[in-house]
Amino acid sequence: MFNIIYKITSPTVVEEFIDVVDINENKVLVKVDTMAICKADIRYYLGKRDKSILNQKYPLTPIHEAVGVVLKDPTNKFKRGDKVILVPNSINEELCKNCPHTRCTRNDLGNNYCPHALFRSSSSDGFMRQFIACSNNEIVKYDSKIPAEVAVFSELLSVGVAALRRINFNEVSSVALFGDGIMAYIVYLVLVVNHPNVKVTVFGKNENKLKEFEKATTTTYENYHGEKFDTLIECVGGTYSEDAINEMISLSLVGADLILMGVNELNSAINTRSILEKGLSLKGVTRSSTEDFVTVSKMLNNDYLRSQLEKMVISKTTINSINDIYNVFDLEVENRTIIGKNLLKY
Amino acid sequence: MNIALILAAGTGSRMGNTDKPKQFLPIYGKPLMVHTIEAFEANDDIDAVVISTNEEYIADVRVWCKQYDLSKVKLIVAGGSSRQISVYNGLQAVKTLASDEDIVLIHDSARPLISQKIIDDNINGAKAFGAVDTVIKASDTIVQSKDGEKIFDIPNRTELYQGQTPQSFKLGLILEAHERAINGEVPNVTDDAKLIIAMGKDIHLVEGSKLNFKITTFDDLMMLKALLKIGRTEVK
Repeated sequence: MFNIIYKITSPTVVEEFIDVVDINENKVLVKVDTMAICKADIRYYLGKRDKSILNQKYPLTPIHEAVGVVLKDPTNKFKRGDKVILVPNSINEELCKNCPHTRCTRNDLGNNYCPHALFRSSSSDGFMRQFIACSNNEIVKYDSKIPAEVAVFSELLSVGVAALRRINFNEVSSVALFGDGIMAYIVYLVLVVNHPNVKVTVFGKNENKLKEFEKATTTTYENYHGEKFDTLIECVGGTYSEDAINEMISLSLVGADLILMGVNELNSAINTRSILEKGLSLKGVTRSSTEDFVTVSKMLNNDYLRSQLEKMVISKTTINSINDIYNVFDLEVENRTIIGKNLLKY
Repeated sequence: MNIALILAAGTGSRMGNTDKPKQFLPIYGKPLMVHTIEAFEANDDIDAVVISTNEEYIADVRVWCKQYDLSKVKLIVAGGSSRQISVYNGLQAVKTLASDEDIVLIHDSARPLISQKIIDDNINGAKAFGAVDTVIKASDTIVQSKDGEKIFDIPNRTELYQGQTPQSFKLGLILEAHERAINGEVPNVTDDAKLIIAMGKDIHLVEGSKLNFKITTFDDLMMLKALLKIGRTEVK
Protein backbone atom coordinates (compact mmCIF):
# COMPACT_ATOMS: atom_id res chain seq x y z
CA MET A 1 0.00 0.00 0.00
CA PHE A 2 1.14 3.50 -0.75
CA ASN A 3 1.15 6.16 1.88
CA ILE A 4 1.69 9.90 2.06
CA ILE A 5 4.45 10.67 4.51
CA TYR A 6 5.44 14.18 5.57
CA LYS A 7 9.04 15.24 6.09
CA ILE A 8 10.74 18.40 7.30
CA THR A 9 13.29 19.01 4.56
CA SER A 10 14.79 22.29 5.80
CA PRO A 11 13.85 24.89 8.43
CA THR A 12 10.09 25.68 8.22
CA VAL A 13 9.68 23.54 5.10
CA VAL A 14 7.49 20.42 5.24
CA GLU A 15 7.04 18.34 2.11
CA GLU A 16 4.83 15.45 1.04
CA PHE A 17 6.43 12.21 -0.08
CA ILE A 18 5.00 8.92 -1.29
CA ASP A 19 6.13 5.85 0.61
CA VAL A 20 5.38 2.14 0.47
CA VAL A 21 4.01 0.68 3.69
CA ASP A 22 6.13 -2.38 4.36
CA ILE A 23 3.36 -4.87 5.15
CA ASN A 24 4.74 -8.33 5.95
CA GLU A 25 4.07 -11.30 8.22
CA ASN A 26 6.07 -9.85 11.12
CA LYS A 27 4.59 -6.36 11.15
CA VAL A 28 1.37 -4.91 12.54
CA LEU A 29 -0.37 -2.48 10.18
CA VAL A 30 -1.63 0.54 12.11
CA LYS A 31 -3.71 3.48 10.93
CA VAL A 32 -2.40 6.58 12.68
CA ASP A 33 -5.29 8.45 14.27
CA THR A 34 -4.14 11.40 16.41
CA MET A 35 -0.75 13.08 16.80
CA ALA A 36 0.78 15.73 19.06
CA ILE A 37 3.79 17.91 18.34
CA CYS A 38 6.71 17.87 20.80
CA LYS A 39 9.21 20.66 21.45
CA ALA A 40 11.84 18.45 19.77
CA ASP A 41 9.70 18.46 16.61
CA ILE A 42 9.51 22.25 16.86
CA ARG A 43 13.31 22.47 17.10
CA TYR A 44 13.64 20.50 13.85
CA TYR A 45 10.83 22.52 12.26
CA LEU A 46 12.49 25.83 13.14
CA GLY A 47 16.01 24.52 12.49
CA LYS A 48 17.03 25.31 16.07
CA ARG A 49 19.75 22.71 16.39
CA ASP A 50 23.38 22.72 15.38
CA LYS A 51 23.59 23.00 11.58
CA SER A 52 25.79 19.92 11.27
CA ILE A 53 23.19 17.85 13.15
CA LEU A 54 20.32 19.27 11.11
CA ASN A 55 22.11 18.40 7.88
CA GLN A 56 22.29 14.79 9.07
CA LYS A 57 18.63 14.69 10.13
CA TYR A 58 16.85 16.32 7.17
CA PRO A 59 14.69 15.10 5.55
CA LEU A 60 12.99 13.92 8.74
CA THR A 61 9.44 12.79 9.39
CA PRO A 62 8.38 14.47 12.64
CA ILE A 63 6.08 13.28 15.48
CA HIS A 64 6.78 10.75 18.19
CA GLU A 65 3.52 11.26 20.13
CA ALA A 66 0.75 9.34 18.38
CA VAL A 67 -2.01 6.81 18.76
CA GLY A 68 -3.64 4.65 16.11
CA VAL A 69 -5.92 1.75 15.29
CA VAL A 70 -4.76 -1.75 14.30
CA LEU A 71 -5.81 -2.74 10.79
CA LYS A 72 -4.00 -6.04 10.48
CA ASP A 73 -1.75 -8.15 12.70
CA PRO A 74 -0.30 -11.31 11.18
CA THR A 75 1.39 -12.03 14.56
CA ASN A 76 -2.09 -12.37 16.18
CA LYS A 77 -1.16 -10.29 19.23
CA PHE A 78 -3.71 -7.59 18.32
CA LYS A 79 -7.13 -7.56 16.66
CA ARG A 80 -8.37 -5.26 13.91
CA GLY A 81 -9.85 -2.21 15.60
CA ASP A 82 -7.64 -2.35 18.71
CA LYS A 83 -6.70 1.18 19.76
CA VAL A 84 -2.98 1.42 20.37
CA ILE A 85 -0.31 3.82 21.57
CA LEU A 86 2.67 4.00 19.23
CA VAL A 87 6.01 3.51 21.03
CA PRO A 88 8.70 5.71 19.49
CA ASN A 89 11.71 3.86 20.90
CA SER A 90 12.84 0.96 18.73
CA ILE A 91 15.29 -1.52 20.26
CA ASN A 92 17.37 -4.00 18.29
CA GLU A 93 17.87 -6.75 20.89
CA GLU A 94 20.44 -8.48 18.70
CA LEU A 95 22.78 -5.56 19.32
CA CYS A 96 22.30 -5.92 23.10
CA LYS A 97 24.01 -9.30 23.21
CA ASN A 98 27.61 -8.02 23.10
CA CYS A 99 26.91 -4.49 24.25
CA PRO A 100 29.26 -2.96 26.88
CA HIS A 101 26.35 -0.91 28.34
CA THR A 102 25.11 -3.49 30.83
CA ARG A 103 23.30 -1.14 33.26
CA CYS A 104 20.40 -0.62 30.85
CA THR A 105 18.98 -3.84 32.31
CA ARG A 106 18.44 -2.14 35.70
CA ASN A 107 14.78 -1.37 36.31
CA ASP A 108 15.42 2.28 37.21
CA LEU A 109 17.17 2.79 33.88
CA GLY A 110 15.74 0.51 31.18
CA ASN A 111 16.21 0.21 27.46
CA ASN A 112 15.14 3.79 26.83
CA TYR A 113 18.82 4.57 27.44
CA CYS A 114 20.04 2.01 24.88
CA PRO A 115 22.64 3.77 22.74
CA HIS A 116 21.65 1.61 19.77
CA ALA A 117 17.94 2.43 20.04
CA LEU A 118 16.31 4.33 17.23
CA PHE A 119 13.96 7.08 18.30
CA ARG A 120 11.15 8.24 16.04
CA SER A 121 11.42 11.79 14.73
CA SER A 122 15.05 11.94 15.76
CA SER A 123 17.21 9.01 14.69
CA SER A 124 14.47 7.43 12.56
CA ASP A 125 11.43 8.77 10.76
CA GLY A 126 8.46 9.68 12.94
CA PHE A 127 4.75 8.96 12.83
CA MET A 128 3.47 11.75 10.56
CA ARG A 129 1.88 9.44 8.02
CA GLN A 130 -1.53 7.81 7.77
CA PHE A 131 -0.33 4.19 7.91
CA ILE A 132 2.63 2.56 9.57
CA ALA A 133 3.84 -1.04 9.81
CA CYS A 134 5.65 -1.75 13.07
CA SER A 135 6.76 -4.60 15.33
CA ASN A 136 4.16 -5.86 17.78
CA ASN A 137 6.32 -4.69 20.72
CA GLU A 138 6.24 -1.13 19.38
CA ILE A 139 2.53 -0.68 20.10
CA VAL A 140 0.57 -0.90 23.35
CA LYS A 141 -3.19 -1.43 23.47
CA TYR A 142 -5.36 0.99 25.44
CA ASP A 143 -9.02 0.87 26.42
CA SER A 144 -11.22 1.52 23.39
CA LYS A 145 -13.51 3.77 25.47
CA ILE A 146 -10.72 6.31 25.99
CA PRO A 147 -10.74 9.08 23.35
CA ALA A 148 -7.71 9.20 21.07
CA GLU A 149 -7.17 12.90 21.90
CA VAL A 150 -6.64 11.87 25.53
CA ALA A 151 -4.51 8.81 24.80
CA VAL A 152 -2.25 10.85 22.53
CA PHE A 153 -0.62 12.29 25.68
CA SER A 154 0.62 8.78 26.53
CA GLU A 155 4.15 9.36 25.28
CA LEU A 156 4.52 12.39 27.54
CA LEU A 157 3.05 10.42 30.45
CA SER A 158 5.42 7.54 29.73
CA VAL A 159 8.39 9.88 30.04
CA GLY A 160 6.97 10.99 33.40
CA VAL A 161 6.64 7.35 34.46
CA ALA A 162 10.22 6.65 33.31
CA ALA A 163 11.48 9.66 35.29
CA LEU A 164 9.77 8.53 38.47
CA ARG A 165 11.38 5.09 38.07
CA ARG A 166 14.59 6.86 39.15
CA ILE A 167 13.07 7.65 42.55
CA ASN A 168 12.71 5.22 45.46
CA PHE A 169 9.28 6.27 46.71
CA ASN A 170 9.66 4.15 49.84
CA GLU A 171 12.00 6.91 51.09
CA VAL A 172 10.20 9.93 49.67
CA SER A 173 7.35 11.95 51.15
CA SER A 174 7.79 15.22 49.29
CA VAL A 175 9.05 16.26 45.86
CA ALA A 176 10.03 19.63 44.40
CA LEU A 177 9.08 20.01 40.75
CA PHE A 178 10.75 22.80 38.78
CA GLY A 179 8.95 24.07 35.69
CA ASP A 180 5.44 25.17 34.73
CA GLY A 181 5.30 23.85 31.18
CA ILE A 182 3.68 20.77 29.78
CA MET A 183 6.40 18.32 30.86
CA ALA A 184 6.22 19.55 34.45
CA TYR A 185 2.45 19.26 34.32
CA ILE A 186 2.66 15.69 33.03
CA VAL A 187 5.14 14.67 35.75
CA TYR A 188 2.81 16.32 38.28
CA LEU A 189 -0.11 14.25 36.94
CA VAL A 190 1.90 11.01 37.17
CA LEU A 191 2.88 11.94 40.73
CA VAL A 192 -0.64 12.69 41.94
CA VAL A 193 -2.14 9.63 40.19
CA ASN A 194 0.52 7.06 41.05
CA HIS A 195 1.85 8.54 44.33
CA PRO A 196 -1.09 10.41 45.88
CA ASN A 197 0.53 10.55 49.34
CA VAL A 198 3.60 12.40 48.14
CA LYS A 199 3.51 16.19 48.76
CA VAL A 200 4.37 18.06 45.56
CA THR A 201 5.72 21.63 45.47
CA VAL A 202 5.88 23.20 42.01
CA PHE A 203 8.34 26.04 41.32
CA GLY A 204 7.41 28.13 38.27
CA LYS A 205 7.34 31.59 36.76
CA ASN A 206 3.91 31.87 35.15
CA GLU A 207 1.03 32.32 37.62
CA ASN A 208 -1.62 31.29 35.09
CA LYS A 209 0.16 28.04 34.37
CA LEU A 210 0.81 27.36 38.06
CA LYS A 211 -2.94 27.53 38.74
CA GLU A 212 -3.30 24.29 36.76
CA PHE A 213 -1.28 22.34 39.36
CA GLU A 214 -4.34 22.28 41.60
CA LYS A 215 -3.26 19.41 43.87
CA ALA A 216 0.22 20.82 44.50
CA THR A 217 1.68 23.72 46.44
CA THR A 218 2.84 26.27 43.88
CA THR A 219 5.40 29.04 44.27
CA THR A 220 8.21 30.95 42.66
CA TYR A 221 11.78 30.29 43.76
CA GLU A 222 12.15 33.86 45.01
CA ASN A 223 9.04 33.62 47.22
CA TYR A 224 9.79 30.20 48.68
CA HIS A 225 11.02 30.10 52.27
CA GLY A 226 9.96 26.59 53.27
CA GLU A 227 11.78 23.34 53.94
CA LYS A 228 14.43 21.91 51.64
CA PHE A 229 13.95 18.69 49.65
CA ASP A 230 15.62 15.35 49.17
CA THR A 231 13.99 14.75 45.74
CA LEU A 232 13.87 17.48 43.09
CA ILE A 233 12.81 17.18 39.45
CA GLU A 234 13.80 19.63 36.73
CA CYS A 235 11.37 20.03 33.80
CA VAL A 236 12.48 23.44 32.55
CA GLY A 237 14.83 22.79 29.63
CA GLY A 238 16.36 25.37 27.33
CA THR A 239 18.60 28.12 28.59
CA TYR A 240 16.57 28.53 31.79
CA SER A 241 17.41 25.00 32.92
CA GLU A 242 20.77 26.30 34.17
CA ASP A 243 19.02 28.66 36.61
CA ALA A 244 16.58 25.94 37.61
CA ILE A 245 19.31 23.38 38.35
CA ASN A 246 21.21 25.89 40.49
CA GLU A 247 18.00 26.75 42.38
CA MET A 248 17.38 23.04 42.91
CA ILE A 249 20.92 22.60 44.26
CA SER A 250 20.35 25.42 46.72
CA LEU A 251 17.08 23.86 47.92
CA SER A 252 18.58 20.35 48.25
CA LEU A 253 19.07 18.51 51.50
CA VAL A 254 22.27 16.53 51.96
CA GLY A 255 22.25 13.43 49.75
CA ALA A 256 19.31 14.64 47.64
CA ASP A 257 18.48 13.21 44.23
CA LEU A 258 18.11 15.69 41.36
CA ILE A 259 16.23 14.30 38.35
CA LEU A 260 17.03 16.25 35.18
CA MET A 261 14.46 16.06 32.37
CA GLY A 262 14.74 19.32 30.38
CA VAL A 263 16.76 19.46 27.17
CA ASN A 264 19.29 22.28 26.85
CA GLU A 265 21.31 22.50 23.64
CA LEU A 266 23.93 24.57 25.50
CA ASN A 267 26.23 23.52 28.35
CA SER A 268 25.02 24.58 31.80
CA ALA A 269 27.19 26.29 34.42
CA ILE A 270 26.10 24.65 37.67
CA ASN A 271 27.27 24.93 41.25
CA THR A 272 29.50 21.87 41.56
CA ARG A 273 30.85 23.02 44.94
CA SER A 274 27.41 22.58 46.49
CA ILE A 275 26.91 19.28 44.67
CA LEU A 276 30.12 18.04 46.29
CA GLU A 277 29.41 19.51 49.71
CA LYS A 278 25.88 18.07 49.83
CA GLY A 279 26.75 14.78 48.17
CA LEU A 280 24.01 15.25 45.59
CA SER A 281 23.13 12.75 42.85
CA LEU A 282 22.14 14.10 39.44
CA LYS A 283 20.18 11.63 37.33
CA GLY A 284 19.50 12.23 33.66
CA VAL A 285 16.17 11.11 32.30
CA THR A 286 15.22 10.74 28.70
CA ARG A 287 12.48 8.96 26.81
CA SER A 288 10.71 5.83 27.96
CA SER A 289 10.45 2.12 27.25
CA THR A 290 7.54 -0.07 26.17
CA GLU A 291 6.92 -1.08 29.82
CA ASP A 292 6.30 2.59 30.69
CA PHE A 293 3.63 2.73 27.97
CA VAL A 294 2.00 -0.37 29.47
CA THR A 295 1.89 1.46 32.82
CA VAL A 296 0.37 4.50 31.11
CA SER A 297 -2.30 2.44 29.33
CA LYS A 298 -3.52 1.36 32.79
CA MET A 299 -3.26 4.89 34.20
CA LEU A 300 -5.57 6.17 31.44
CA ASN A 301 -8.47 4.48 33.24
CA ASN A 302 -8.06 7.00 36.08
CA ASP A 303 -10.95 9.48 35.90
CA TYR A 304 -9.01 12.42 37.34
CA LEU A 305 -6.13 11.89 34.91
CA ARG A 306 -8.46 11.72 31.92
CA SER A 307 -10.33 14.86 33.01
CA GLN A 308 -7.04 16.75 33.23
CA LEU A 309 -5.77 15.46 29.88
CA GLU A 310 -9.04 16.49 28.20
CA LYS A 311 -8.34 20.06 29.32
CA MET A 312 -4.98 19.93 27.55
CA VAL A 313 -6.53 19.69 24.09
CA ILE A 314 -6.39 23.22 22.69
CA SER A 315 -7.51 22.29 19.19
CA LYS A 316 -7.91 19.34 16.84
CA THR A 317 -7.12 19.72 13.15
CA THR A 318 -7.89 17.06 10.56
CA ILE A 319 -5.13 16.80 7.97
CA ASN A 320 -6.70 17.50 4.60
CA SER A 321 -3.65 19.08 3.05
CA ILE A 322 -0.10 20.04 3.90
CA ASN A 323 -1.38 23.51 4.84
CA ASP A 324 -3.05 21.99 7.91
CA ILE A 325 0.33 20.69 9.05
CA TYR A 326 1.96 24.10 8.61
CA ASN A 327 -0.91 25.75 10.49
CA VAL A 328 -0.67 23.43 13.50
CA PHE A 329 3.14 23.58 13.65
CA ASP A 330 2.91 27.38 13.59
CA LEU A 331 0.31 27.29 16.38
CA GLU A 332 2.62 25.12 18.46
CA VAL A 333 5.58 27.44 17.82
CA GLU A 334 3.51 30.24 19.37
CA ASN A 335 2.06 28.04 22.14
CA ARG A 336 3.86 29.40 25.19
CA THR A 337 1.26 30.44 27.70
CA ILE A 338 -1.15 27.54 27.93
CA ILE A 339 -0.61 24.01 29.25
CA GLY A 340 -1.94 22.09 26.29
CA LYS A 341 -1.40 21.12 22.71
CA ASN A 342 -2.86 21.64 19.27
CA LEU A 343 -3.48 18.14 17.91
CA LEU A 344 -3.39 16.72 14.41
CA LYS A 345 -5.81 14.02 13.27
CA TYR A 346 -6.33 11.87 10.20
CA MET B 1 -23.04 -1.24 3.19
CA ASN B 2 -20.28 0.29 1.07
CA ILE B 3 -18.66 -1.81 -1.64
CA ALA B 4 -15.64 -0.98 -3.78
CA LEU B 5 -15.82 -2.27 -7.35
CA ILE B 6 -12.26 -2.39 -8.65
CA LEU B 7 -11.88 -2.37 -12.41
CA ALA B 8 -8.86 -4.42 -13.42
CA ALA B 9 -9.75 -5.58 -16.89
CA GLY B 10 -7.57 -3.20 -18.90
CA THR B 11 -5.26 -4.53 -21.58
CA GLY B 12 -2.37 -2.17 -20.92
CA SER B 13 -1.89 -1.51 -24.60
CA ARG B 14 -0.28 1.87 -23.89
CA MET B 15 2.39 0.45 -21.54
CA GLY B 16 5.05 -0.20 -24.17
CA ASN B 17 7.09 -3.38 -24.28
CA THR B 18 5.41 -5.54 -21.65
CA ASP B 19 3.26 -8.60 -21.88
CA LYS B 20 1.25 -7.73 -18.76
CA PRO B 21 -1.57 -5.22 -18.43
CA LYS B 22 -0.51 -2.26 -16.29
CA GLN B 23 -2.60 -3.21 -13.26
CA PHE B 24 -0.64 -6.44 -12.86
CA LEU B 25 2.86 -4.95 -13.15
CA PRO B 26 4.91 -5.44 -9.97
CA ILE B 27 5.67 -2.30 -7.95
CA TYR B 28 7.77 -2.81 -4.79
CA GLY B 29 7.15 -6.53 -4.85
CA LYS B 30 3.43 -6.70 -5.46
CA PRO B 31 1.07 -6.12 -8.39
CA LEU B 32 -0.02 -2.51 -8.83
CA MET B 33 -3.71 -3.44 -8.32
CA VAL B 34 -2.90 -4.98 -4.91
CA HIS B 35 -1.60 -1.59 -3.69
CA THR B 36 -4.88 -0.05 -4.89
CA ILE B 37 -7.05 -2.66 -3.17
CA GLU B 38 -5.03 -2.29 0.06
CA ALA B 39 -6.18 1.34 0.23
CA PHE B 40 -9.81 0.13 0.32
CA GLU B 41 -8.95 -2.72 2.72
CA ALA B 42 -7.60 -0.09 5.13
CA ASN B 43 -10.77 1.99 5.12
CA ASP B 44 -13.09 1.06 7.98
CA ASP B 45 -16.18 2.15 6.05
CA ILE B 46 -15.57 -0.22 3.13
CA ASP B 47 -17.36 -3.49 3.84
CA ALA B 48 -16.45 -5.49 0.75
CA VAL B 49 -14.45 -5.37 -2.47
CA VAL B 50 -15.46 -6.84 -5.82
CA ILE B 51 -12.90 -7.14 -8.62
CA SER B 52 -13.78 -7.13 -12.31
CA THR B 53 -10.74 -8.40 -14.18
CA ASN B 54 -9.47 -10.13 -17.30
CA GLU B 55 -10.82 -13.68 -17.40
CA GLU B 56 -7.36 -15.15 -17.89
CA TYR B 57 -6.08 -13.39 -14.75
CA ILE B 58 -8.88 -14.45 -12.37
CA ALA B 59 -6.82 -17.34 -10.96
CA ASP B 60 -3.80 -15.06 -10.42
CA VAL B 61 -5.94 -12.41 -8.74
CA ARG B 62 -7.40 -15.06 -6.44
CA VAL B 63 -3.87 -16.13 -5.44
CA TRP B 64 -2.82 -12.52 -4.80
CA CYS B 65 -5.86 -11.94 -2.60
CA LYS B 66 -4.75 -14.83 -0.42
CA GLN B 67 -1.04 -14.01 -0.59
CA TYR B 68 -1.56 -10.37 0.43
CA ASP B 69 -4.42 -11.11 2.85
CA LEU B 70 -7.02 -9.02 1.01
CA SER B 71 -9.80 -10.22 3.26
CA LYS B 72 -12.48 -7.78 2.04
CA VAL B 73 -12.40 -9.16 -1.52
CA LYS B 74 -15.61 -11.17 -1.74
CA LEU B 75 -16.01 -11.75 -5.47
CA ILE B 76 -13.81 -11.76 -8.56
CA VAL B 77 -15.64 -11.66 -11.87
CA ALA B 78 -14.65 -11.57 -15.53
CA GLY B 79 -14.70 -8.12 -17.09
CA GLY B 80 -15.60 -7.52 -20.70
CA SER B 81 -14.47 -6.03 -23.96
CA SER B 82 -15.34 -2.49 -22.83
CA ARG B 83 -15.26 -0.54 -19.60
CA GLN B 84 -19.04 -0.41 -19.54
CA ILE B 85 -19.36 -4.21 -19.77
CA SER B 86 -16.69 -4.70 -17.07
CA VAL B 87 -18.56 -2.32 -14.76
CA TYR B 88 -21.90 -3.98 -15.48
CA ASN B 89 -20.50 -7.46 -14.80
CA GLY B 90 -19.01 -6.13 -11.57
CA LEU B 91 -22.31 -4.51 -10.57
CA GLN B 92 -24.11 -7.81 -11.09
CA ALA B 93 -21.70 -9.34 -8.59
CA VAL B 94 -22.13 -6.43 -6.18
CA LYS B 95 -25.90 -6.95 -6.40
CA THR B 96 -25.51 -10.38 -4.80
CA LEU B 97 -23.93 -8.73 -1.73
CA ALA B 98 -25.90 -5.51 -1.36
CA SER B 99 -29.24 -3.79 -1.75
CA ASP B 100 -30.34 -0.83 -3.91
CA GLU B 101 -29.64 1.79 -1.22
CA ASP B 102 -26.09 0.54 -0.57
CA ILE B 103 -23.14 2.45 -1.99
CA VAL B 104 -20.80 1.21 -4.69
CA LEU B 105 -17.50 2.98 -5.39
CA ILE B 106 -16.24 2.21 -8.89
CA HIS B 107 -12.48 2.67 -9.04
CA ASP B 108 -9.70 2.08 -11.56
CA SER B 109 -7.17 -0.48 -10.30
CA ALA B 110 -4.45 1.62 -11.94
CA ARG B 111 -5.00 4.56 -9.54
CA PRO B 112 -3.01 3.24 -6.55
CA LEU B 113 -2.45 6.60 -4.85
CA ILE B 114 -6.08 7.07 -3.86
CA SER B 115 -6.30 8.67 -0.43
CA GLN B 116 -8.52 7.69 2.48
CA LYS B 117 -10.09 11.16 2.32
CA ILE B 118 -11.22 10.61 -1.27
CA ILE B 119 -12.75 7.26 -0.29
CA ASP B 120 -14.47 8.85 2.73
CA ASP B 121 -15.77 11.78 0.69
CA ASN B 122 -17.11 9.42 -1.99
CA ILE B 123 -19.02 7.36 0.55
CA ASN B 124 -20.46 10.41 2.29
CA GLY B 125 -21.27 12.13 -1.02
CA ALA B 126 -22.99 9.09 -2.53
CA LYS B 127 -25.05 8.63 0.62
CA ALA B 128 -26.13 12.28 0.53
CA PHE B 129 -26.69 12.76 -3.21
CA GLY B 130 -26.95 9.30 -4.76
CA ALA B 131 -24.20 9.93 -7.31
CA VAL B 132 -20.76 11.57 -7.08
CA ASP B 133 -17.76 11.88 -9.35
CA THR B 134 -14.18 12.49 -8.21
CA VAL B 135 -12.61 15.42 -10.04
CA ILE B 136 -9.75 17.89 -9.84
CA LYS B 137 -9.84 21.43 -11.16
CA ALA B 138 -8.23 21.76 -14.57
CA SER B 139 -4.92 23.54 -14.05
CA ASP B 140 -3.87 23.68 -17.70
CA THR B 141 -5.81 25.47 -20.39
CA ILE B 142 -7.89 22.88 -22.24
CA VAL B 143 -7.97 23.20 -26.00
CA GLN B 144 -10.67 21.55 -28.08
CA SER B 145 -9.93 20.40 -31.60
CA LYS B 146 -12.32 18.40 -33.73
CA ASP B 147 -9.88 17.45 -36.48
CA GLY B 148 -6.62 17.27 -34.53
CA GLU B 149 -5.15 20.05 -36.65
CA LYS B 150 -6.89 23.30 -35.71
CA ILE B 151 -8.30 24.68 -32.47
CA PHE B 152 -12.07 24.55 -32.45
CA ASP B 153 -12.56 26.13 -29.02
CA ILE B 154 -10.81 27.04 -25.78
CA PRO B 155 -13.41 26.49 -23.05
CA ASN B 156 -13.42 28.63 -19.92
CA ARG B 157 -10.96 26.85 -17.60
CA THR B 158 -12.76 27.87 -14.43
CA GLU B 159 -15.64 25.61 -15.44
CA LEU B 160 -13.47 22.63 -16.35
CA TYR B 161 -12.45 19.69 -14.21
CA GLN B 162 -10.54 16.51 -14.89
CA GLY B 163 -12.39 13.32 -14.06
CA GLN B 164 -10.84 10.70 -11.84
CA THR B 165 -12.24 7.74 -9.95
CA PRO B 166 -13.93 6.59 -7.77
CA GLN B 167 -17.31 7.34 -9.23
CA SER B 168 -19.77 6.39 -6.54
CA PHE B 169 -23.47 5.70 -6.59
CA LYS B 170 -26.37 4.12 -4.82
CA LEU B 171 -26.36 0.63 -6.28
CA GLY B 172 -29.95 0.73 -7.49
CA LEU B 173 -29.35 3.96 -9.41
CA ILE B 174 -26.22 2.86 -11.28
CA LEU B 175 -27.70 -0.56 -12.05
CA GLU B 176 -30.78 1.11 -13.52
CA ALA B 177 -28.56 3.40 -15.62
CA HIS B 178 -26.63 0.45 -17.04
CA GLU B 179 -29.76 -1.55 -17.75
CA ARG B 180 -31.36 1.39 -19.55
CA ALA B 181 -28.17 1.73 -21.64
CA ILE B 182 -28.28 -1.99 -22.49
CA ASN B 183 -31.95 -1.64 -23.47
CA GLY B 184 -31.13 1.35 -25.66
CA GLU B 185 -33.11 3.80 -23.53
CA VAL B 186 -29.96 5.91 -22.96
CA PRO B 187 -26.93 5.92 -25.27
CA ASN B 188 -23.93 3.68 -24.53
CA VAL B 189 -21.06 5.76 -23.15
CA THR B 190 -17.59 5.16 -21.76
CA ASP B 191 -18.24 6.74 -18.40
CA ASP B 192 -20.64 5.80 -15.61
CA ALA B 193 -21.31 9.42 -14.71
CA LYS B 194 -22.49 10.07 -18.26
CA LEU B 195 -25.03 7.26 -17.92
CA ILE B 196 -26.50 8.99 -14.88
CA ILE B 197 -26.55 12.37 -16.66
CA ALA B 198 -28.31 10.70 -19.60
CA MET B 199 -31.04 9.69 -17.15
CA GLY B 200 -31.45 13.35 -16.21
CA LYS B 201 -30.04 12.92 -12.70
CA ASP B 202 -27.57 15.15 -10.88
CA ILE B 203 -24.04 14.09 -10.05
CA HIS B 204 -22.18 15.97 -7.34
CA LEU B 205 -18.44 16.62 -7.33
CA VAL B 206 -15.93 15.19 -4.87
CA GLU B 207 -12.50 16.77 -4.75
CA GLY B 208 -9.79 14.40 -5.96
CA SER B 209 -6.05 14.82 -5.90
CA LYS B 210 -3.34 15.16 -8.51
CA LEU B 211 -1.65 12.20 -6.85
CA ASN B 212 -4.68 10.05 -7.69
CA PHE B 213 -3.42 9.84 -11.26
CA LYS B 214 -3.99 6.81 -13.45
CA ILE B 215 -1.07 4.68 -14.54
CA THR B 216 -1.86 4.60 -18.22
CA THR B 217 1.43 5.05 -20.01
CA PHE B 218 5.03 4.09 -19.41
CA ASP B 219 5.67 7.72 -18.38
CA ASP B 220 3.00 7.44 -15.65
CA LEU B 221 4.71 4.32 -14.32
CA MET B 222 8.05 6.12 -14.26
CA MET B 223 6.40 9.03 -12.44
CA LEU B 224 5.05 6.68 -9.77
CA LYS B 225 8.42 4.99 -9.35
CA ALA B 226 10.20 8.35 -9.12
CA LEU B 227 7.77 9.54 -6.43
CA LEU B 228 8.37 6.35 -4.46
CA LYS B 229 12.13 6.61 -4.79
CA ILE B 230 12.16 10.14 -3.40
CA GLY B 231 9.85 9.09 -0.57
CA ARG B 232 12.17 6.32 0.53
CA THR B 233 14.92 8.73 1.57
CA GLU B 234 15.85 7.71 5.10
CA VAL B 235 17.11 9.69 8.09
CA LYS B 236 20.90 9.65 7.95
